[in-house]
Amino acid sequence: MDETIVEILSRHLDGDLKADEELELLARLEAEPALAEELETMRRIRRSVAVLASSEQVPAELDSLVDPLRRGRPEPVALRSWARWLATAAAVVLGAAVIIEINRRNPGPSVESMAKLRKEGHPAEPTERFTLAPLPTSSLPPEQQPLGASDRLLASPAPEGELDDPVPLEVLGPLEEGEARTFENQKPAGVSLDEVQAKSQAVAEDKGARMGESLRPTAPGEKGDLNRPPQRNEKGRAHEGDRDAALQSWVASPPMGQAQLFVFINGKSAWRDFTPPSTCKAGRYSVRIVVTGGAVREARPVGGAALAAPSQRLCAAELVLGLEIDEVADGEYPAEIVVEPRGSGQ
Amino acid sequence: MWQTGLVDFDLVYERFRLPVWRLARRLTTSEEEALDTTQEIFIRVWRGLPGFRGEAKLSTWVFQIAWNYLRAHRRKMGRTLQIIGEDINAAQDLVESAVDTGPDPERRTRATELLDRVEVALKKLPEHYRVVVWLRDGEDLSYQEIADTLDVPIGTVRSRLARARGALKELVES
Repeated sequence: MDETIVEILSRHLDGDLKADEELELLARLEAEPALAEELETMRRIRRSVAVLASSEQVPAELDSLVDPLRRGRPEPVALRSWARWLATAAAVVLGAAVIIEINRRNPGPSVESMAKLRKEGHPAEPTERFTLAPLPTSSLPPEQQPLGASDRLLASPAPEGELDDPVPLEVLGPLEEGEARTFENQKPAGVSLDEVQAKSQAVAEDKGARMGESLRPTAPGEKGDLNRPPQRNEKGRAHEGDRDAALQSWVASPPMGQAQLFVFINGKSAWRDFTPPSTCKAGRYSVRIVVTGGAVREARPVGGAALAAPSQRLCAAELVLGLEIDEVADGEYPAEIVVEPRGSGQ
Repeated sequence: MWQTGLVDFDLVYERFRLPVWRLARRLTTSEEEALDTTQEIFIRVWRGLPGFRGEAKLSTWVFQIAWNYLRAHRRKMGRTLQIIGEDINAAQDLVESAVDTGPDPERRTRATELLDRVEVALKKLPEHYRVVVWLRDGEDLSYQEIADTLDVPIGTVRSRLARARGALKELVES
């Protein structure tokens, strides 16, 4: 049917036609029975819509839902959609507030501190970050905060639950400040390990040194070059026996299915056997942890298999997480660990 | 009784609870959804009443709030109002592609065949056709009130209502 006549019929039903338009339509309706039938159909449908409207009833539930509004409460308690949205919004806001607060308290290394680390021989940019810990609770400025996170880490027992092997870290002794803490790349089994060079004499913490296996000393290395042999220090010779014995175990292949983690912390080194989690391969992992200003600033995998994949670096980082450095830091240090690409800037 | 501005909310609710509910019922897909949207509409009415100064008819004002909310709700729910062409054939294409939700069984037993057909056809009708038919034939609003409610020119109401009725008739007869 023509669109124009449909509109005329529609307007006729609503009494919207002018007098002359009405007369014209009436003439057409008399002359065209089909058109009259169309109009009658439209009229019946129109009445049906009105009947449908009049038959509609408001469910009683609506009154109870709107009742708080009727009683003048600012926000109706029983409004379901409103309550749901409110609850969702509250949860989002709360979550955001928690995240913001955590980030505020643990901003991680600043640009300045990272620049300083680069000057100190750690030029690589971080690629992954793992926030470990509760954040600094100390009101002391970083330079006045007590050092010793590494010492406590070295002396601490193995964390419960995180790693299967409860054997505590083996303390190999301190290295002199600024001394290169380096291993040659270590291969999974039976491959030589260069000697770790120590210049200071503090070995009182050494414990659990394993005897009966040979240690292969390494050639001297250069400062900051983690892939070159370290230099030997005469001052540490008195304790070389103990240290060598400890290193001897490190040099030996880890038991089948086991792994070893070697950690450098501010010149000290420690290692332990552990059962690798399913995400980590058996073998050796070495991680250097940098503590500056009383804070654990970095934990970077060093040495290790030359073919170590990024996933292994992550694995090493997870091992560091397993050491619960945040607990060692005792809440006094920002304990964000930055894992840098293996070998980058080294 | 709690007063808000010139008009008491209680009176507004008593006067418009049924029309708003009916409109919500026509523009939503379930009674649950209609309940939710109706209460949201009355929250907005409640909030807006203190600012209502009577420049517009109260019915127009309430229906405006209802339509705006329902339209936004439909968009949010992914059932964006379909913009259809200005000819009935284009409208008919969309009508035929619409989902047939079928009448409520209980209503079928007590309604006439024509009522059933009209109800089914209304559900198939695109929303901006459905709303104009409903406001005119279901709520008996004038062209001007519909134009104010939908915020369109009165000429658009005339033409849209004619197309909507034509499409509805085609659906009923199909």
